[in-house]
Amino acid sequence: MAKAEQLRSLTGFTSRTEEADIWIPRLVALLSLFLVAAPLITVTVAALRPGMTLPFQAGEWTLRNFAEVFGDPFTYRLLLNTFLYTLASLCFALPVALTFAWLVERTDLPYRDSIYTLLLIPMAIPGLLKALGWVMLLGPRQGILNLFLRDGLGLDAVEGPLNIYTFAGMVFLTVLSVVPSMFLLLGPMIRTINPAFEEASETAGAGVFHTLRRITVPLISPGILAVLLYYTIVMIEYFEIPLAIGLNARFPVLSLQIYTLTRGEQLPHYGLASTYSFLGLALGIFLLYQYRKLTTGSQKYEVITGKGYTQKQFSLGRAKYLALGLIGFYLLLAVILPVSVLLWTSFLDYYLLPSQAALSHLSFTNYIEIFRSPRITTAATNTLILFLAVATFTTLLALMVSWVVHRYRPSFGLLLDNMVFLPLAVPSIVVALGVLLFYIRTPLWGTIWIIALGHAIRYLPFSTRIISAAILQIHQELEEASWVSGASKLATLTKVTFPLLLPALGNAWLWVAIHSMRDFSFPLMLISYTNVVITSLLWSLWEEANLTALSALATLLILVSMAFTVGSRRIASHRTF
Amino acid sequence: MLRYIGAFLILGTILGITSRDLRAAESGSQQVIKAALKAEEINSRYEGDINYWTTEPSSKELVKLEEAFNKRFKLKVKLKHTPIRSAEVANRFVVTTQAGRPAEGDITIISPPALSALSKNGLLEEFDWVGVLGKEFPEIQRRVNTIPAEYRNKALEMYHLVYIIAYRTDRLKKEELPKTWEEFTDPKWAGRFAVANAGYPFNYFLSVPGWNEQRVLNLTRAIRDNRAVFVKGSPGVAAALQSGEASLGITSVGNVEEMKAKGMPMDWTALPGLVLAQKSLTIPKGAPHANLARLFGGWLTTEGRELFENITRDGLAWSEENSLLAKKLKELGLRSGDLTLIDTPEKDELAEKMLKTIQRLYLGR
Repeated sequence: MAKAEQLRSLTGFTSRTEEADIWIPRLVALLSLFLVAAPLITVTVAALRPGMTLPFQAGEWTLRNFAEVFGDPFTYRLLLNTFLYTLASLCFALPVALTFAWLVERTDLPYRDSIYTLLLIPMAIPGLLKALGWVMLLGPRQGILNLFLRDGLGLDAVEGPLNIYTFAGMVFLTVLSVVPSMFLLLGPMIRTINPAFEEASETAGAGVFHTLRRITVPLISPGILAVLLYYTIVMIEYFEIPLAIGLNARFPVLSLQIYTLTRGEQLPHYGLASTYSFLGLALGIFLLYQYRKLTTGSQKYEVITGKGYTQKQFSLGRAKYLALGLIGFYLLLAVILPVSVLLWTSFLDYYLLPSQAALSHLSFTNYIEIFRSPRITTAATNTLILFLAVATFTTLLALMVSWVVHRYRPSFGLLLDNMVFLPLAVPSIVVALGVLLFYIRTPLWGTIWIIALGHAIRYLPFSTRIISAAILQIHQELEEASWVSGASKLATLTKVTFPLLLPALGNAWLWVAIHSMRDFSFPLMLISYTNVVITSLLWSLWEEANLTALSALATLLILVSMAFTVGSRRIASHRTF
Repeated sequence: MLRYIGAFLILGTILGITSRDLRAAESGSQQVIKAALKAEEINSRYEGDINYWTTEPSSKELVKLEEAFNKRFKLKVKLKHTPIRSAEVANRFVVTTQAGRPAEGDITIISPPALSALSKNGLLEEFDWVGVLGKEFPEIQRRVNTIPAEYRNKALEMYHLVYIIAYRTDRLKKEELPKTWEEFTDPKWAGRFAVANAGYPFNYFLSVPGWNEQRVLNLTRAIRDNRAVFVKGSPGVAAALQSGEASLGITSVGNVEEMKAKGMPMDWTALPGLVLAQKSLTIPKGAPHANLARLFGGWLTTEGRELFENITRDGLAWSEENSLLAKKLKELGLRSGDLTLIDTPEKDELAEKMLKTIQRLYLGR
């Protein structure tokens, strides 16, 4: 800090700059506090209200919800199940995401740029739709793959041999869903490892895998642990797959219980749901504390320094075919198979198994009906607004927060960093309720902007993590060198730091944009006549059990999201250093 | 002279009666339209909006109702559709009212728990449906009277949610289907039937003669253990039948009829102890276009019902009703007396309590 002060005096920063140094962190902190306050206050107040009472409704205050939740042995079963589900999902997802990140970022794998883009495509498929596709593929009785397997293996059974409605099925689908986001978090971490250590290892005669095991992995292990902690919190709240599979798998988890209490068939019980959310929040705070411990002394992870920086690429040799096969297999499971089933269903008048007879039922009717729908134009426009506005605002805010925390390092930096992380530990539906109650008297009410605001709060933790990680890896000596050379703070930021951060910013933007486009919780909770989005229409079709129209709209949403993903990546890859 | 006076009096009486009748005719739709004009809900060109806050029918189909309504009353009103579920509607109206905003919706069709929630929060207000619209829509008297006393004149009977046994006709014959609810626990149905994960319709069974809590719990536990395919709501059951994951399931009529209309090999039957959940049309207190909504509500529950039923395939179950549902139930040998209507707040409260117990049981407790 003193060194920075010295440099500032050397480069003759004006008092205006110093003033900005004071008010910028405060402004960013205030804005962030204002945004995250809504869900946190709501969850706290709601937990203290009885029965069906809404959080800010007049009436009594009570601890009954806590007594009910903690006095119920089922809560502990839910916690155990959630722990097992999280553990199993992360045990499989992490090695897969880590392998993909390493292959794409640090090896001579062919078509890496295209593969990078392809690996982000599964993000474009909402978990519910992925589950729907896989139920059609691996439903124990009529799943297409099961029928194929029974036929191929000559099995005389009416069910199986595989069953998606199991704990394994739930974990399998979750792994397919979380790998792309994990890959996004791990990618920059692996990309920016200081090559000096690996080169030294290789010079000493170590092979690729030995270097990987002994040098690369230990170097990024704090980052990996941080990602694990982050995803542990995410998994506590993740409800789409448990909703589609969990009940049949006889494996209820915490998120399913919260969903049932807030969006089940009966009137919502926000008090109990918020009390369950408190468990997630408490766990989140504990994990956050652990995360802070891991990332204290951020210089440990600064790998892009001013001392020369050339990435080391490992040669895969013949193993590249195995690597390509592995990635191809993942894409087959995460994208090709479920999307193919949805595509097939989208051309039918009612669901039929693929067969020659079914071909006569194929038509474009569902697509024509979608375009004839009176709400489609509004929904598409609103979805586009969400896609662009939420991603841009959230990424900018996350950049400001991360920058303030890691570069300005104000006295309240730790608090700010923790604060923006907290909405992650509160279920989407509770955050949405908080936004609804908080902004009800504002002009935002009923517009698409209230959903956009909700999404910004929801996705701020992820984008902050991804940008913070990138900032942590850029040694301040690069900026100091720029200052010493006479560059202004702004010039340093735009010409030195920003280009280095661009990949992380691009990733954060894309992640937020896709997730905002595919989210169900906020559009449903904050729905009005004017702010309908594509996912609201999808949900209506889901509730009507209109599988064919649902598949058609889902296919369109997925294709558009894919096109945006590919397009954004192409733009980003042309602009990165 | 007396003759003239007499003639004058007779003429006066006739004119008086006629003008009273004219006033009476005006007291129907014209009266409501005039009130709507006065309240600036519609302009002088009879253009305006009704905020239609409910899931049924879909936005696409709602246009048909809009056209029919406008044609009938020579209006140019737009039905602005916000597809939102019954339970959420109630919460949303309560929240907005508490925040000092008027209810956003003008009209909604809701189930008993939501009706009860609106009532508890003072969001239902009385309207003299029969007095104002009774002459124009004589059927409205019945739509008012079939509503429980607690909500009389605050809501109108719209349709019945009937839980039936749906099945794939290409896989099962009608004779093979379970004849009692307990037959679902037979191992031959293991993993072959779908039920809503929320606990419907078993939570209503406490109101059905011959059922008690223990019997309901035994049944639901056995159903769970017989590997029922749990899906999201009644539409989920229809979807499971569509995809072939289940050969039969317990669902509501509308979903099955919709599939049938598309050509799916599907049909339905009913079991003794058939329960009906009443869906009621209501206009929340402070609705921005209350007058227009009343006219639309009165029309929809009477003259417009047939069109609504043709679109949604949801109708009234009473034997004396001229609905497809009533006809089919009669064919199955079921009369009004065989049906259990969940209408009173007491029955509803019992059902809500039971719902939670069943949900816990399904979740493995």
